[in-house]
Amino acid sequence: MDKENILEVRNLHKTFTSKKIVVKAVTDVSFNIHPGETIGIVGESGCGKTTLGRCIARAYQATSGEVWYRTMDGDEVDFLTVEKDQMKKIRKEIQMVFQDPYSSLDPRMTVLDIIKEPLRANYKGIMSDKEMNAKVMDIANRVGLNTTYLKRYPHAFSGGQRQRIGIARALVVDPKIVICDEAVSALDVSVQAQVINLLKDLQREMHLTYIFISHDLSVVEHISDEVGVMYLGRMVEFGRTEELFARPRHPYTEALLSAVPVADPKIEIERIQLKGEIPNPANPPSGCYFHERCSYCQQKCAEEVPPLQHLEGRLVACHRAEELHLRGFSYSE
Amino acid sequence: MDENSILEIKDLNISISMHEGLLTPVRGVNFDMKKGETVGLVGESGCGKSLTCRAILAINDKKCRASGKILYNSDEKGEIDLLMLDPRGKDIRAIRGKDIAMIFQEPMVAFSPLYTIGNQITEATLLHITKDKQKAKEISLDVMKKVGIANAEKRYNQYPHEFSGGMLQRAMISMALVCNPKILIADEPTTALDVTIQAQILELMKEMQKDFNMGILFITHDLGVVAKMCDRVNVMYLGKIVESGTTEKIYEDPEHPYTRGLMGSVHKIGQKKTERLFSIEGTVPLAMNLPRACGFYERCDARIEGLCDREEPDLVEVAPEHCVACFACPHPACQAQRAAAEEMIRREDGRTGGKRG
Repeated sequence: MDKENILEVRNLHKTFTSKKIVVKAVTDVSFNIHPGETIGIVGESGCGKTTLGRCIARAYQATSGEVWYRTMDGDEVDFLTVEKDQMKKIRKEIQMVFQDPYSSLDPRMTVLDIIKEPLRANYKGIMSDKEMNAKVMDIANRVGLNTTYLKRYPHAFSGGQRQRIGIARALVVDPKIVICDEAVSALDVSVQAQVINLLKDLQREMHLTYIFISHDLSVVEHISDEVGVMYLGRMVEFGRTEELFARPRHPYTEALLSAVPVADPKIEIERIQLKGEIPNPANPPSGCYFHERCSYCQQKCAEEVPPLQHLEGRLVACHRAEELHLRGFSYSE
Repeated sequence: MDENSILEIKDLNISISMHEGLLTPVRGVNFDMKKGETVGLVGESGCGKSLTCRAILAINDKKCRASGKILYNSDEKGEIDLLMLDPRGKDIRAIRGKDIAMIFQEPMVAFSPLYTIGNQITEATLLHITKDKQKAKEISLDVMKKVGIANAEKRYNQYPHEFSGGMLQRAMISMALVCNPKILIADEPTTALDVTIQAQILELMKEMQKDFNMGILFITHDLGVVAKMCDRVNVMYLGKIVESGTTEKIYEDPEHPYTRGLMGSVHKIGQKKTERLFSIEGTVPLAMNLPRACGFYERCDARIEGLCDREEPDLVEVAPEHCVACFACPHPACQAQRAAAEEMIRREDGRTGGKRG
């Protein structure tokens, strides 16, 4: 493991099988994360970004691959195969925040109990109930929840407040890495801005590393240091946010960026028309998964799967990445 | 009613009586739509934008009581007040789906899973255009092809679960367009879709608008989509329109603090990164037992104590095609309104000795 990384995902695969159908949800995904940074994962629905997040958190058991993680004590472990008793110790270090603040909180538990549950699971016998309550109060204050309302049930809270509860629940055990799966997608824009600001503040205060999964490219561009673009279970491009948005190297990234509606009527972006629809992941096309919809497609693209290769500080999976000049956003002052 | 207008909403109020009190989700909404234009209705959830557009088609729940006027300029029958029609009567049914059609937010929910797509699209044709089933099918297939559904003949006999989200939204658009409507109401038509599909659907709607010369009422909370689609925008907050104007005006120089807040809370790709997004503190209050005050008072950063919490500003014109409802706006028209409101408060205080009645 590289000294600078907190997490290294190596050749991660996840296949779902039901009866005769085999769906490759995540295929050969590798990337590294530096501590304290935010990695954005973008892609359309069904591209495997949620599955990837869940495999890293070990909510799903990955089919194959490794997720090397540097623990709080400095050990290097493969998070996917680590022994049970050690897993118990480190599992709390990787936490998740979920998309829907309405269905991800148990309606029959008070907010206090919801936030306290991870403590009960991880510190039973180590921490007294009093200490736990104090910890809950502390984290509730930090995420901006009014602590006098903690005895209430989730239904009494608005969407933005509920998402704060979800964040508090993830942060109460002092994790190192937080996987935010569409954490702000269900919120209204003004509330979305509140939660994004909160996430950024907490990141600074608690030295968190985020894996931020979202389909909203504007939000990802704002919050991420690095971005990974996924298509049909594969990572097609990975790089520093601004470089990637300014000059995409993969045709799919280019098409995705050109489709973003920018909140300024003066900016006219010529949209790149993608042919057809996303193929069925149970029956992916040959060669490059994107070749049927790609306007830069060549003979080779239909035959060989392009590997994810280094190119000027970027990871790109495209046979023609070097020769193509693709259009991104022009950054202005 | 203006000759160029096709739809005019005048002083629309909607109230719902509940156990806890009277809910007033729409409070005096005014706007109009000209032929072939796209009007945006923007606001956060709970601001009353969906109720407003559903009131046009009279498809709100029975509990919703609407007052005011919704004038529709029909080619054949002249001016009709849609609110006066019986929501279950023949007259509104002749308009609903034919002259005024609607696209709903979630295509997966809006279609019935029990009938084929073709069956559901043809239903409108059979109701409004022809009784001949073969002919109706032809018309439907024609529109399906127009909106870009490949293999329309095969798709016609498929069920909704066999369609992807984007294709279903296309099917929904073809269902709305099959009777050649004058007005299309689109209630968050692309919120549930991916960006690439969203871009396709928006372009399709623009194309169809040209072909059919229809007016579109576009309801959304996505300011990026509004910038792309709309000619004019109405910004709604707590059941009232707080700012309206041409899209350029609203984006270039928003006057109402709420509009400014909305604009600031959206990050624009390609612009210099700011460390923090601007965020409007707090949440939208419940539209129940509202005091006489500006609805945005509690969350506003430009509020004037002793004024904004006691009087509610009206929508006044500050420039051609640009209206704002705010006492703090420096424009003369708003300041005149402010002076009048302050005078009112002074007089009221004089009567009650400084205490509010």
